[in-house]
Amino acid sequence: MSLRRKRIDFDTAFDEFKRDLVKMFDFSGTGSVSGMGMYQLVYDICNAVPRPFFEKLYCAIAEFLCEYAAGVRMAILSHDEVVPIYAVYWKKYSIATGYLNAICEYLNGRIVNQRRVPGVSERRLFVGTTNYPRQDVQALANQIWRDHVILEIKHRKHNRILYQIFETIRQDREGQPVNYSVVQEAILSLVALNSRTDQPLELYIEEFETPYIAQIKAYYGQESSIKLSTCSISQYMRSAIERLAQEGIRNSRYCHATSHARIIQECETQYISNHRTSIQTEFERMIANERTEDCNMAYALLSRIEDGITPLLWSFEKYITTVGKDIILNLGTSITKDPREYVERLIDLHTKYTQICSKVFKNDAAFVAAVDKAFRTIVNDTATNTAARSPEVIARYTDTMLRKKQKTGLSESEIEDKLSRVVILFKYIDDKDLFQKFYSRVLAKRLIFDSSLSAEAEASMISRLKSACGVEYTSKLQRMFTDMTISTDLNTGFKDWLQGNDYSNGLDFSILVLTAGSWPVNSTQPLEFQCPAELEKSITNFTTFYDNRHSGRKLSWFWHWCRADVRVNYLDKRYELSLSLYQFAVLAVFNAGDSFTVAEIREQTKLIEFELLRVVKSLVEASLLIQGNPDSNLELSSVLRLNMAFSNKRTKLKISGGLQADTPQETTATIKAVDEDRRLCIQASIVRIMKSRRVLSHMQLVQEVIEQCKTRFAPNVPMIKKCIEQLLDKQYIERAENSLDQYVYVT
Amino acid sequence: MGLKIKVKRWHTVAFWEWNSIDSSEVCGICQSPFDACCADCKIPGDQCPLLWGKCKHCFHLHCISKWLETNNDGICPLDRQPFEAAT
Repeated sequence: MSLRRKRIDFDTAFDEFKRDLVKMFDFSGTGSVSGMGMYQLVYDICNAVPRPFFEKLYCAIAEFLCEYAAGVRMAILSHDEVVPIYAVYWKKYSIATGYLNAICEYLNGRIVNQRRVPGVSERRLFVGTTNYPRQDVQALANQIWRDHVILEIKHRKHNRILYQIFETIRQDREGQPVNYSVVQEAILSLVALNSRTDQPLELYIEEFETPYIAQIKAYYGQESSIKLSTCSISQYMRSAIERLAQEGIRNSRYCHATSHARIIQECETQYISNHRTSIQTEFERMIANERTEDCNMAYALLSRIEDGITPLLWSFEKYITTVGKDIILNLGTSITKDPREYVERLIDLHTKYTQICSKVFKNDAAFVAAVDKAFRTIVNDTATNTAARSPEVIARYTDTMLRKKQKTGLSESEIEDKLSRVVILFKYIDDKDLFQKFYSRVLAKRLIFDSSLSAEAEASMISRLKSACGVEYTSKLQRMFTDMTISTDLNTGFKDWLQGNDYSNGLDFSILVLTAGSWPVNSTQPLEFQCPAELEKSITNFTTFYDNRHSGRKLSWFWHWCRADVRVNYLDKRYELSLSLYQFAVLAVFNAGDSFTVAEIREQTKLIEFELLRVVKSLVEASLLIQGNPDSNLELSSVLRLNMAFSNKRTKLKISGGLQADTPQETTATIKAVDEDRRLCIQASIVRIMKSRRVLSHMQLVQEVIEQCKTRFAPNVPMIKKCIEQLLDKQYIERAENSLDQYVYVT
Repeated sequence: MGLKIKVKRWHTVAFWEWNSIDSSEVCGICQSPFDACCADCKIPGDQCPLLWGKCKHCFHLHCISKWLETNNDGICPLDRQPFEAAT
């Protein structure tokens, strides 16, 4: 192209330019239009000597576009259905103006980057004497289309285009088939028209989005109210979900992406927010009647609006809690006898609602938390049924599962499964320390009386508790297992020692030596008892052996936990009996004669009366002994004889009643021991906190103590206060001088 | 006639405690009972013995050793007087 400046006659040059413009805009004979030629022409006009004509050219182009747009407007308005024809014209216009803008690149540069005119301090905002701002030809074309087509029709012709657009979308909403692509083109032209201004969406929002949302509001406001009054909630929710899905599709069919959220929000307001209470109120019945599909819809709808699901969570939690409490209530005192119903029914309940959470509520963390909250209430509820003391009941449940020869008839894998599920309930127990105490009691009995199902089952239960509560929680339980292992070694060692010293007496002796602090015994003080003479030798031998092996230790014998397997020779058949040591001691008295009073037996065994009567009773019940006067109460003067006519089909018998189950006193003692442990735990935690924080207000201290202790138990505030007072007395901490409310750590 | 009842096998249970201290008391340092071991040991007993100071305070040997090693100026943690082991 030639850059040389020429002398130009503007009118002639523009006439030539305009001829090509007409062809471009009509899409008639575009083949004969030379882009390069037009580009050169624009350059030549802009650089004409002696005076360049760029502003004049710009104004002339504007004039051409105005005329063209006015023509288009007439053409559009001549149709009944204006939207499709508008879309066609708009498409052409946008293509043609695109070319025009490229051809006018040089002109754009001169107009937009207009050099400062000497002597004129202000940059002129408008081109020549027109009110067109300094913008490129494309922006100019957009402005002209906006003013001469869109706004002209809006103000003079009842907004016919937009009216028909809204009408078409309404028909679509009512299910009539529409050609939505032309509608979308027409709508998106509003975005394109403003794209080169500093408010690119202004026209679109003002002319389309705002009125559109207002129409949606009116349409769905009415529809939802009618639906709600004529349909069931279930149908209402279904149509809400349907409508919201449709509007989602309609959004992408018609609207610019920036409107989608606002439009959907308006639909949600009309269909959900405005009628939320109707759904929320019905939700209680949906849960109670297990209308899972309805629950799912209620959740899907209400989770879309702010705070929508909060009342659902509350109903959900309340309902589960009620069902759980009903279960507890109906079990009554049967829980005390058999913990299985309590545990298994609550686990089933938990499984059920956990599944509902995942199937119906998409595992929404808030619903899972509601199940947790409900179960924390249920499991820790003792007000509904005083027999439902979960730490104790659940510990006893594990015992029924972990004891061998139980009557449950379950396979080992079934038991494993049940035990892994019981941890679900365990996690909800507030007083985990209390559970630990009860668990250790039943575990101790299983270990001491060798009644454990299997070492593997015990170990896997411990590891479950460990993973739920940490190593520290199970360390004391673990120490019991350690003692069992040590005792096995000790027995081997003792046997070798006996043989080495030639002390063997043909009596098979075994022992568990337990570390006092690791086992749940209230006192290591042995009860009064005279060990039968024939066994004393073993005791002496073992004591000698043990003293040699460990120095500085003393042994306390727990006679009431000892057992003896004996052979009975006085009957027709030979029987082998498995007895408690006390039972044996009583029977052994009869080696010297056939008939003794209880008092005489007491003389020899030194057993305390309460214990002795219980043992004698168990032997009478087993028919080994006969009470002289069967109808009277068993007392010190009662006479007892050996039952020489004893007979049983089996020759190996285990005589029950040797050991008492946990008495209420023992349970109380356990609870008291736990209280004491808690006091120590709280005090230790106060000292730890104060040591690191130095100064703390009462409230903060209480809060931090609760936080530290809550994995083990829920500490109550009076107990914390008491512990603080004790530590004040011991001068671990003191009150701050200037404030009654604050404590200071004493170094 | 010999014994009517003869023991074949018997099984006993006993607890051991330290001879010279109430086992249920706790070590002032680790707060574990004396008949349990210190925090670093697994098994109580000879591997984790006790140590008395002349001040009559008793600790797990491991606990008091660690205490004295870690910049506590060799004082007893309970009475804050110089700690000397009783012999």
